[in-house]
Amino acid sequence: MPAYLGEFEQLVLLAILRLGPRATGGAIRAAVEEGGRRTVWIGAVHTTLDRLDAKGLVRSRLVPPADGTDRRRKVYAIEPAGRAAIAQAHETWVRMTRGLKPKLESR
Amino acid sequence: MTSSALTPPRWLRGFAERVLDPRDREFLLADLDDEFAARRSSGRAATVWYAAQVTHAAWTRRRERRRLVKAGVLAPSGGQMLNAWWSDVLAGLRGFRRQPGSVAIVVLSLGLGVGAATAMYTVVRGVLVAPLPYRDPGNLVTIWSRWTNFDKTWVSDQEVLDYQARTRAMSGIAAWDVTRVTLTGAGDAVRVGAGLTTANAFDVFGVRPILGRTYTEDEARAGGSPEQPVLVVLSYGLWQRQFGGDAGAIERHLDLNGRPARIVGVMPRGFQLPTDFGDDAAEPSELWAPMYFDPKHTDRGSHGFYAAGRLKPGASAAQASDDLAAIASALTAEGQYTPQDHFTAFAVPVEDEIFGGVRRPLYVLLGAVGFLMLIACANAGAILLARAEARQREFATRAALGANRWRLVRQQLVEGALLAIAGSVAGLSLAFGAKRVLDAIGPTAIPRASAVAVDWHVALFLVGACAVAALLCSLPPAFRAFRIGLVGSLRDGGAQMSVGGHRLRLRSTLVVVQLAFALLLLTGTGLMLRTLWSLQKIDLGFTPANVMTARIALPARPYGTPQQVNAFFAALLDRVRAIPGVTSAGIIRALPIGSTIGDRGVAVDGYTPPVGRGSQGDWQVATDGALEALGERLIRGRFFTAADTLETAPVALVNQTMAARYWEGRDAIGGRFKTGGATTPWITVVGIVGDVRHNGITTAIKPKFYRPYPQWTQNAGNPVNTGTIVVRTAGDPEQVAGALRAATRAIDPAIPLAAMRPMTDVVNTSLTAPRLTSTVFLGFAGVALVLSALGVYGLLVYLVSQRSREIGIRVAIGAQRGQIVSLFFGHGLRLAAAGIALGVAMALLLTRTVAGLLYGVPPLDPATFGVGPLVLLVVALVASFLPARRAAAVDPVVELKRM
Repeated sequence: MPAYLGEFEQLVLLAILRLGPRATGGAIRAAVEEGGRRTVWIGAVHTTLDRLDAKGLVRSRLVPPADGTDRRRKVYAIEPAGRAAIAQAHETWVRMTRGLKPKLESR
Repeated sequence: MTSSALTPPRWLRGFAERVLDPRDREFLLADLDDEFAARRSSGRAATVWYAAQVTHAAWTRRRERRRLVKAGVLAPSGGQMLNAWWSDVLAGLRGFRRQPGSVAIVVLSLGLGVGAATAMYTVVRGVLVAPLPYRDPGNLVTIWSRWTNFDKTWVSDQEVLDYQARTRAMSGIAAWDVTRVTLTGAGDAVRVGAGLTTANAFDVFGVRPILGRTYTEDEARAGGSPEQPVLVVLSYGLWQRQFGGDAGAIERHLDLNGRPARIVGVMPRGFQLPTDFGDDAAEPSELWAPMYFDPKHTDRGSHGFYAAGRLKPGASAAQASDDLAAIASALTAEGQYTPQDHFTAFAVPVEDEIFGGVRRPLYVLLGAVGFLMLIACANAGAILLARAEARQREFATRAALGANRWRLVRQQLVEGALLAIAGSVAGLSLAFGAKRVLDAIGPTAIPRASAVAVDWHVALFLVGACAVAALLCSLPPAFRAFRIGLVGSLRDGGAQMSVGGHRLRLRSTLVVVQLAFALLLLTGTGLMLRTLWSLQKIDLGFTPANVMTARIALPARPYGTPQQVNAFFAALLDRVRAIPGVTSAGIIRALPIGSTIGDRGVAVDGYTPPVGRGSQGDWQVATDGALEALGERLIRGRFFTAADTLETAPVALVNQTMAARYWEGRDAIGGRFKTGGATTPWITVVGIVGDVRHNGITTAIKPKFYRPYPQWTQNAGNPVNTGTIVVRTAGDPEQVAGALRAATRAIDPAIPLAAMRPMTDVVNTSLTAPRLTSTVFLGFAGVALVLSALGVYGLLVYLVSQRSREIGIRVAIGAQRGQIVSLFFGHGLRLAAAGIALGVAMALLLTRTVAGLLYGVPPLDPATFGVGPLVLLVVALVASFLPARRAAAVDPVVELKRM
């Protein structure tokens, strides 16, 4: 049974999937902010990433500083368990919304 | 593009590095820096965004870590990662949680001290420090005349022209007169204070209108003819009230006392004539119209104008006075005035003019609040000292283990600062509350008190006061921390038998100082209360209770003739007397205490004034019933009746002072005098009335005569068409207010009543300043007593707990309970005695500064100096009682077992 995901966790995982090798905390934050149409705090993103990491759904590695900067970045990638969890969440979503399209879009 | 544009400001990065957990710092900042660079085009917004993200991250990450540590997921961080200051703060807060009682006392006393100081500073700043509504008010002076028997009186129109032509110290001189006008043509008829000013007044004051313009010299000259509309400049307040702040009000036509008028300008908010801060504060001028002194029609006899001058650059008020005096003596030399008049003129800085009366009381109160704050700090300091002593062993141990001393001192300072911040939050709410108290006491008696506000200057003062409080109350414990020696401390803090003298000395000193300051405030309170009491005991010469008053003014049209005025007043009084509950009613020209009265020269039949002195009397005009309504006393003869009319023989009443001065050894009743020229008719005295305080509760009583309203034209030519209705009622005077208005409206709806208030209010307003000082002093002294009682109590409780073993031994070897009680009682007594001695010494030195505020009580009043120390002694003994009882209750068995 894949892990249960909270809504924000789902958004973070989807952002990592979307960003691929460019999935730094900042990039994830910006992607969730843009896709979710809401203000997203970097602290919240990292807290969620730590949680996902602890559950074994994502992994992170430090990459050397880019040119002109002096800070290493933490880049995240999705683990198989994470992929399974987000896939399950997606399936659940699709199942539960089936046939509801007119009602959901009627507003 | 430079790299600096790509990164947030240095201070912000510094802040971020400081607050972020080091485990996150690197990549979190890398993330944020990337985005900042992307957002940099939005300028400030990017910085704000960055700061918000950092702050939020620091907070949530820390919280999350704590949660994880608690849940056992994360190992507690090993090293001391917190900023050292921050850890001091946390340590301080933890310490406070263990001793909520003493912390509450510290916060409360600091709150009281800081709050009272801030409130007082707010008032002082609002009234004295904030600038007057004139350009460069320091170079503005008011101009006054001085004559034999007149120390400070108005100037005449011809003198204004002379000063304008001859002055060398002033660049401009303006004159004005205040009056009240009825304004129609903009909603209901309203009666407002008005200033008639020379055209240059606005230039002399240096204030431009915010809308439209003011009037010119030519317009002022042309304005004299009745067919020209009067040009008026409105106050900001009147413009808002009557025209809703509409810019279209300019050029609007109005009706002013029955004359057409046209609005030409609006003055900025807060603009007032210098006289509006004092005498006219209750009803300040709200519109200004031109006044022109035509050299062909001016004279030197009617001194009825106010004047102000703008000093030339570099000139002082003293130079302006010399200048005016020189002009006055030149005029006398030219034969314009007789040498016996001793005529001269002088200038008073407008700031002294307006604030002269309240400056000293406010500074005295500011000083008093300083003492209160010192008491509060001493209190807080004593408690912090006790805390520090309780932790001496901890400090000593830490020092021995290598903590540096500065670190220990710093912790004390941080604790002090925390307490000061908490205290100032409490104090700020108090300061806001104090503004309401001031409003309740009556803001019109203090110039500009209504403008007092808690603003950023005040906040700055508050921060300063807090910093001082923090330093004062945490330094003594901090220095103690410096002095600690490990060996001494461990020995001292161990199984001690009695308390070393050096430890107590500082705390005892603090308590003694507290008591001394409290006595100082008690002395001030005593003197102020005695002053207020003396003032209230003054016989005013009338009975203010159960009297309603309201000002009325009849416009020149349609009330131009004496008959029209008299008919209106007679009809009004008939209606007013018919109001149920009214026992008597009348109209009086100048209301005692509520207005000032001036004098006129009189020629008394059979009296020759001494050489160089004229004979004059304050002129009062009253209808029948007015003196009865005010409760003035008839000594002999009769009051006015309705039978004293324009057609009957001229009659007058005189006061006792006038009767005694001009009819010395003769009977004033039946005596005759004239006012005005030799051609005016003789006036016969028909009654003598008791002396009445008029221009102020404490001002001297001068000769005064009363003439009936209907007869005034007999010697002046024109009727008096203004006055104050006075109505004596059987019950609450407020209940006739509505009926009074209705009675006036029934005769002429265009005549408004103004300033309707009971006579007791009129009298109380003049007592506002002494009442304010006594109330504030009383409050300060009360707080000071409570604080110093807490100080004595705290010290003795501490002593008892430190000496409980000693007490146990004493009791065990036969000491009586009474001896133990008197031991501690004696200690309290010694503290009180030292405090009283110090306090009396300081009071002896300082009461001189309040001498000017006192009335009917000497600065070294024996009663005050006797009662104050007694009160303090009682309070100190009460505060010693509980600790002494506790000492007596010490169980020797328990104590000896503990050894």
